[in-house]
Amino acid sequence: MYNIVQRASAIFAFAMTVMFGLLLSIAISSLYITSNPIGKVDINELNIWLYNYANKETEFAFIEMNIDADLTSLFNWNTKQLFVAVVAEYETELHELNQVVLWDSIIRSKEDAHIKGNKVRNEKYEFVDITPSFGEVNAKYSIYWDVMPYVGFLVGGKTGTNQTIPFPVPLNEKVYN
Amino acid sequence: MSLTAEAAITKFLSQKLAEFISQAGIILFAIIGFVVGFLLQDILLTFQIFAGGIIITAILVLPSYPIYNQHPVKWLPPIQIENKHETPEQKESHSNEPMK
Repeated sequence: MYNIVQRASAIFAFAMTVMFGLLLSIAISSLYITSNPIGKVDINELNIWLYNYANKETEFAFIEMNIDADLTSLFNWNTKQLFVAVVAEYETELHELNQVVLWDSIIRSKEDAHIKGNKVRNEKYEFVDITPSFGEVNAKYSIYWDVMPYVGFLVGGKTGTNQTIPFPVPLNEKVYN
Repeated sequence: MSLTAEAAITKFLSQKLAEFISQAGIILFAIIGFVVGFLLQDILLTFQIFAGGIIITAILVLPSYPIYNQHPVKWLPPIQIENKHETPEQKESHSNEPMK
C-alpha cells in the first residue's frame, strides 16, 4: 500500500473478492424466498384429426383451453424473467412419461405475471405422439415455470390441476392422399 | 536494510490504516447494498450502492493525504565512506565493473 498504483490495485482486487461474496449471498438467499405460484388449465375442446406425416397416418390433437395462472409471487428482486409453458403429460404402453409442450410464453415483468388466456389453441406447437397414434391415453395438463434470475440458480416447478381428459377417436377415418 | 525495528513498525502504521479503511469501507458498502436492495426489492440499487462505495473508498484511500504521513519513516543518517585507504588497483577494478 505504499504508492497510489498499489493502493488502487489492492482496492480493486479486494472489491472483486467482496463482489463475489455479494453475488453468492444474493444467489443463496434467493433460494429461501418463498413463493406461491398457482394456476390451472381448463380444457374446452380436444379433437383429433388424421394427417399424413412422414408417410404415416398420424394423429394430430387440437386443443382449446383456458389458462389462468398467478405467477406474480415468483417475481422477487432477483427474478429477471419467467419461462412459462403448458405441458400435456400422459403415459402410454411404450413410454412411461410423455411430455408435449402446447403453449409457452416469456414473462418479463411482475405486471404481466398474472396470465389469463381464453380459448388458447396449440397453434405454435403440434400435439402429436412419438408413435403415429395416441391410443387410449389420459393426459394431464400442467403449467411449468422456470425462473431465470439475475444472479444464481435456475429454479423451476409446475402447478396445475389433475384434470384428465380421455382422447377421442379421430374425426376423419382416413387420410386421402 | 537500514530500517530499525521501530521505524519498520511506524512505517506500516499508515499503510495499515489505509488498508483497514479500504477493506472496511468495501465490506460495509456491500452489506448496506445487500440490505437496502433486499428491503426495497431492487437488485440494481444493490450494485449501485456497491459501486458508489468502491468510489468513495478510493477517494478516501488513494490520494496521499497528510493523515497518512503522521508516522514518517526515520532513516538512519547516511554513513560517510572514507575512500582514503583505497588502493589504485581497487579503484581500477571498480571502474572496470561491467554495467548491470
